[in-house]
Formats: sequence, C-alpha cells, structure tokens
Amino acid sequence: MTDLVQPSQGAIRRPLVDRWTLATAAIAAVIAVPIVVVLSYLAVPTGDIWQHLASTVLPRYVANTVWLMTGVGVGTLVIGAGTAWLVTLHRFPGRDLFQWLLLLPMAVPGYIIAYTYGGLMDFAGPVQSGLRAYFGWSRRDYWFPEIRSLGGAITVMTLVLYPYVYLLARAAFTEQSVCVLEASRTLGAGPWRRFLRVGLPLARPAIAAGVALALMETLNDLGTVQHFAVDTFTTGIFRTWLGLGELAAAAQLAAILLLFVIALLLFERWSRGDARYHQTSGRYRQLPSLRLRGIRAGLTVVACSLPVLLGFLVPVGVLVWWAIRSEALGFDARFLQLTLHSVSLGALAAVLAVVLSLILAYGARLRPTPVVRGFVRLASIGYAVPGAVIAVGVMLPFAAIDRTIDAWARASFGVSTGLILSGTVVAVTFAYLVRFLAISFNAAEASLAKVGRSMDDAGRVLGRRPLEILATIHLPLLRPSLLAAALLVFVDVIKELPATLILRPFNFDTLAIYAYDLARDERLAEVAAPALAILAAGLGPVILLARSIGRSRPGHSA
Amino acid sequence: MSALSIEGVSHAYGATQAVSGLSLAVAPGEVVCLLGPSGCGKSTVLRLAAGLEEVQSGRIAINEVLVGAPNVHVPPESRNVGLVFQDFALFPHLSICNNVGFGLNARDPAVRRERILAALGDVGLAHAEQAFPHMLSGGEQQRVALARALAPRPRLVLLDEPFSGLDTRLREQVRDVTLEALRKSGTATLMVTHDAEEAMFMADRIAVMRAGRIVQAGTPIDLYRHPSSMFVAAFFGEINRLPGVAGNGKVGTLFGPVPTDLPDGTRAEVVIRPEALGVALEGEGGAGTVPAHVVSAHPLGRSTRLVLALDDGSRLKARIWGLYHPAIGAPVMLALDHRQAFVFRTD
Repeated sequence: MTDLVQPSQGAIRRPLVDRWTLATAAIAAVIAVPIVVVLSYLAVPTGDIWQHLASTVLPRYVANTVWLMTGVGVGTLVIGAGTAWLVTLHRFPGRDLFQWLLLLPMAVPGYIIAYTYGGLMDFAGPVQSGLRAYFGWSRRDYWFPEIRSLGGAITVMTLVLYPYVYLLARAAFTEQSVCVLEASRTLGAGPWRRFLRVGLPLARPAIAAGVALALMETLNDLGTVQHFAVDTFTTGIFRTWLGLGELAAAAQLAAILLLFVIALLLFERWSRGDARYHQTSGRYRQLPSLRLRGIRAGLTVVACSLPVLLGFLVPVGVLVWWAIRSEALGFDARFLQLTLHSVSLGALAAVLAVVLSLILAYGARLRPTPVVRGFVRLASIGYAVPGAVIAVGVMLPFAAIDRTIDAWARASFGVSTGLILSGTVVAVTFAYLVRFLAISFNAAEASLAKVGRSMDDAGRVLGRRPLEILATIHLPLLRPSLLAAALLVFVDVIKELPATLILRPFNFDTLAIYAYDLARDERLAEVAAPALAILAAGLGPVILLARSIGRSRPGHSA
Repeated sequence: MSALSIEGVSHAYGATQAVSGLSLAVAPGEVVCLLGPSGCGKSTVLRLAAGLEEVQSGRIAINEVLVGAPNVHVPPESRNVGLVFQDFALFPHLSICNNVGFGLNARDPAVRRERILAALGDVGLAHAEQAFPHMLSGGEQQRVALARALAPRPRLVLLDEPFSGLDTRLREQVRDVTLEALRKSGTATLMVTHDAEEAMFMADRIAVMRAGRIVQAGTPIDLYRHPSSMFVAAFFGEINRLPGVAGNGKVGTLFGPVPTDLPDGTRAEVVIRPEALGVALEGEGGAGTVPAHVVSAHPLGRSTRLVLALDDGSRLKARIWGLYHPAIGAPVMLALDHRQAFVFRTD
C-alpha cells in the first residue's frame, strides 16, 4: 500500500450522535408525552372518585360509546362503500358530478350538523311544527323520532363521516385491475355477485381503513354527543374534569378511551391481514362501467343524492336560512376577532406541523434505520387519539411544569411566574401538533418518496450538503404537496373543538368555541355565522380532494 | 499516481455481502469499466467511490488522498467526483442551464455561464440551455447528465450504467459523444455496465466482477482473447461447450486437440465462440474440417447465426459474417480457429 495523504479534518464529519436521528427522536419524544402521560394513569392507584365513577356512569359511557361506534361503523360502511361502488363502476346521469359531490359532507364538522338537525327536528323545529300545522295535531297526537338521542347522534355522524370510507373505497375500486373484474364477469358473476365476491373483498383493507378513520373521528367527537345528550367517554372526561374538578379521574377515563383507540388501530392493522391485495395484473384501462337505465338509473341517482342532500345541502340550507332570518347576521366585530383567533391558531399549527413533518420525513429518508422509523411512527400516532385525551395529556404535564417553575421562581426571586405553558397558546398549539402532525407527515413522506433517491445522490456528488439539498431540490419539488398539507392541518385546527375547549387561553375564543357556546345556550339561529365560516374553510380540503380524484387512476389518460 | 485507488474493500448490506476484498486502480485519464451481471456488486463499488456508502473495510483514495476507510469518511460533497446516474437524475424543476451549473462553485455569473455553455457544448447541447429536462429526449438527457457531471471539472468521473436507459439505436450515438467528451476532459473514468460490448467500446481496461470480486482484469482484447474462466468467456458472448478430458497437455475434440495446462485426467470443457467456427460447403473443407448439417439459420443483417448438428449428435452455434441462408439440413464442413478455443476445468 502506498502512503496516502490524510484528508483534512474538516472534510470528515462524523458526529458522535447523528443529528437526524437526534432530531426525529426529540420530536417523537415530545409529541408522545401526552399519550404516555394518559396511559400512565391506567396504573395510578385510584381514589374514591374512581370507584364512584365506575359504579355509576362508567357502564353507560362504555355502552353508549360501543353503540355509537357500531352504528357509525355500519352506517359509514354501507353508505361509503355502496356509493363508491356505484360511482366507480356504473354509468348513470350525473355520475361525474356525484364523484365529488359525495365528498361534500366532509366539510361539515359533526357538531355543526348536530346543531342544524337538532334545530330542524326538535319539537319546536320547522319539521314537527309543519306536521302539526298541516295535520292539525297537538303534542300527544303523534310519534316522532327524538333527534336528541343515540340514534340521532349515529345518524348525523354517519352523514358527515361516510366520506372517509367513500374516499378510500373509491380509490381501492378504481385501482382494481379491470382484468379481475372482467374475469369474474366471464365466469358468470352478475353485478351483485361481482360487488360482494370480488370488488368488496379486494377493497376490504381500504374500506376497513376508512371505517377505522370514521370511528376515530366518532371517538373524538364532543359537540354532537353533548348536544344530543348522549353520555360517552368524551363528555365524561369533560364533566369529570371541568364539572367535578377531578383531573386524575378524567385522566383515567381518557386512558380507557385510549384503549378503544388502540383496539381500533389493531383492528385496522389486522384487517390488512396477511392476504396479499396486490393486483395480479398491471393492466389498467377505463373501468368497464355498467350503463344503468330507467328505474335502476333513477334509484342509483337517488341513492347517491341522499347522502349529499342530508349530509351537506340540508345543514347548509338550515344555516343559511338561520342567517337570513336572524336580524343581526352575526358578522360583527366579535365575529372578526374570533375569525382572527381561529385563523392565527390554524396558521401557526399548520406552519409548525409542516416544518416538523419535513424534518421527520427527511430524517427518515436520510437515515432509514429501524430506530428512526420507530420514532417517526411514534410521532404520528396522535391522529388516532381523541382531542379530549390529548388535552388531558397536555394539561397534566404542563400544569406540573408551570407549578415547578413558579415555585422555584418564588423561592429564588420572590416572584410568581404564573402560567407559562398551560392556559397559553403554547398548550393548545402543542395539542394540535400532537393530533394533526400525522396529516402533514403523511403528505410530506408520500411526496418525498416520489422524488428518486438518485436526486439526493446527485446533489451530494455535485457538492451540496443534505440540508442544502432539502432547500434547493426537495423544497421546490414538494411545495405543492406541502401547501396542501398545511391547508389540511389549518382546516382541521379551525374545526377542532374538544382540545381547543380545554386548552385555549382564558377568554381566547375561536369560531368553533363560539358555535359550541351558542348551541349550549340554545341560541341556534346565531350559530349560523361561525358555522358557515367553519364550513367555508372545510370546503378547501374537499376541493383539493375533488381535484385529485380525476387524476388518481394509474394509467388514466391525463 | 492513481486518480482512484480501491484497496481491499469489502461491503455488506445487512447480511448480504456485496463486495469482497476488491482492489482496483484507475490512472488519470484512463477509462476503466467494471463489467458484471446485475447484483455482482459493481454499483456498490461506484457508490463507495462516490462516498454515497461508507467504507466498512479496506480503503479508498482519490488522487492519493484517503477519502474512505473504517472511521474515515469524506462526504460525497467534498470529494469532487462526477457521477452520471442510470436514470440521469436531472433536477426536474431546474432548467438545463441550472442543472449543469448546480455543481459549480463560481459565483461570478459570467464565469458560470461560460463554464455551463462549454460543458453543454462538449456534448453538443449548447442550444438546449433554456429547456427543462422533460422537454428533452432520453439521449439528450443523458448528455446533459454527463455535462453536469463534467462541468465542475472533477478528477474522477463515475458512470453508472449510463446507456442502459436508452434504446439500442440511440446508444451507439450517445456512446460516441460520451467517450469523446471524457477524452477531451482528460478525467479518469470508472464506468459500470453489464454490457460486454459497451465495455469493450468504452474501456481502456475492463475488470470483470462476479459475486463481489474481480475475476479478471485487462484490456478488452486481452479479456476477449484470453479469458481466464468459463464465466469471463461466457460473459463476452455466446459460447459452445464441448466436454472432454485432459491428457498429455491437451484435450481432444472433433476438430483436433486443443492445448491445455490442466493435469492429465482432469475433466474439462473446451469453449468455442460461435465466430471461431468457419462454415464451408461440403467438399470445400480442408484438413481438420468436420462434417455437419444445418439445423437452423437466422440471417441477422450483419451476420448470420447458425445452429449445426455434428454427426455424433452434438449441436454447435456458429456466427458468420454476411447474409447466408442455407437450406435446413444442408450438409456443410466446419473449421475451428484454434486461437479462439479455450479449455477450462469442469466445475
């Protein structure tokens, strides 16, 4: 061996601890704090209050939660998978329109549809009043389903959550190779048999994932169940904490709710199963859509219209009607301030979420080690965790930190620092990040994965360091998807209710909080202004999804 | 002085050993090809030289400066090597001009522009500077990738299957341009390919790799004329294999004895390239010719590929120049060019 010149030390960078591993670990550790804190309460010795809860309300919480999940699960499955099958594999008048119309209810948060149907269907509402006026009935002359019930909650939540199933099922149906479906046709399977024996089983993992998402949203819901007086874990957590002031017991309820979530996640993973759902044929053509005529076409149009009508047009119509009818439209200075609060919280969380996601996704790309992958997965677990659980998990450690700092400052300097973390924008923004980081991370990871590995290598060999490559190559390429991810987080923050309710700074109200407060005071007509604003924001992601629907099919002529 | 020297380098991905104790040097201005089947570890060698993988054992030096060894890793951005990727890896959001200028350190816009245009000019694409990668054909993209790699004037250029993404007709033309640009720049080049003809065209020296090791290295003619193993012989084209046994320093065949160093009694195979067989019409053959008849004939344009059956039933492939279409079953006489017959021990 010849003698070689040693490289200059500056050229060798081999830090003791890898910076990217450290960065992903730090983000994951911080994001995981609320979940770990809540889970730890499963092991905390319980006091009398817990005994009391367990013997009085707990069975009701469990029963209501289970029934709610069952009802919404079945409802979203039938509506979501059914409409997806109809619009992807059949031709009927308005099919292209229904493809994206069916997404619209997604823009309506559960609590807002609950307020509108609550107002529409209760005793004093226009439906019952109209029936009484028309038939000349009085109170005892007729039976009318009580909207403020478990059944009502299941119905309205199904109406706004089925698009999760629809979206994923639709994607799964369109990705199914035409050959498989045509093969089943040549083997003599009729349309129903094709749906039940081929289409549905092949799309099962996607449909299960969609149902799991819908159920996670169900568990997250506070506004609907509270408005409809259905006691679930979420309302229980609130009552125990804010009503009884029992933080520890609330945390224990949250921990049990978290077990439901973990069961859901396991269900979703299990439903993917061992079976391989990869397509055996890579041939994609225009799907062989069955042309429907006459009565069948009519029934299909009705089937596809109903969810849109009930899940979007009716609530929007009610809101608009309320807005017009009330003397003061509600778009006043206070409304402006609330909007500003909502928008600034949303923007702050969106920017932070995208930045953190980019670090996580790029870290996982640069260091595809099991350790980094584990941290990344940990950091994106929060999407499944209900806002109320996260709120409890944020509040407990933040309050403890505040107390510690305050005690130390008073002992050392004789000044009280008061609340630094809890009850400030920091706490609520942190909760948003825990819950919504997965949304932006998935977007960042997916679009980063589309950039070939050789792009990074080319940049390195041409003299750029990893961070410069992120800035000069990846950021310009990812910009559209990152903007879309930021929009998704922004809108979700604006719609978010439970965590905001618990963690927002004192007197810092948002549009969602305002709508919630008005609904609690039964001032439903005034809900219109904030609700319409939230709804308008919610249309943003729907438009994004609708736009991507046209080009989602591989091999589709662009 | 070596532009690149790789000494005893081994590399594993998890449990998979990709490179085992490989040594290789590239002199300044020399074009060396690493030739081998896919999965033989040749791309790993390239990535190690570029610094995209860290050296696990052995050492790598560029221009006599140690750049890689266990616990020494000069990152790729500090190595000043050019790398042309199999998929070209042009940045889709940058114009051709900015792609080529990506690796330039010069801040002065006039200097940058001059260097970019010079690099593009060397590959005949000066007119395309304002275009974007997707607007160019595959061959043009490959040339841009080469210009981008050469623009920072690296002392070493690495080419990773640079022509495999191009269709055959385009390949020869781009190969000419590439070789010319490399020669003009005077840089040392290490190219990886699985195409023996491509390697023979481009290389001053070829190193044939198999399962992470170099099995033979030498000039293209050396390797073609004197393959050291059945693997190398087979890699440079179709072969005929005739079994036999060594005895008295030779192996007997129908075409007469072929000399060998193998000890007496060793089971061996005589390897004959199809182009080493001469085909003559019956009755025209001289001494040492063997009668056979035509099983199939495929005129391919420049040459004709024949399958011939000998009287003992064995079949031989032959390739002769020009178009030739004998009748199936036609009797012919076969002659062997003994310089192109090699004897290897039967594995």
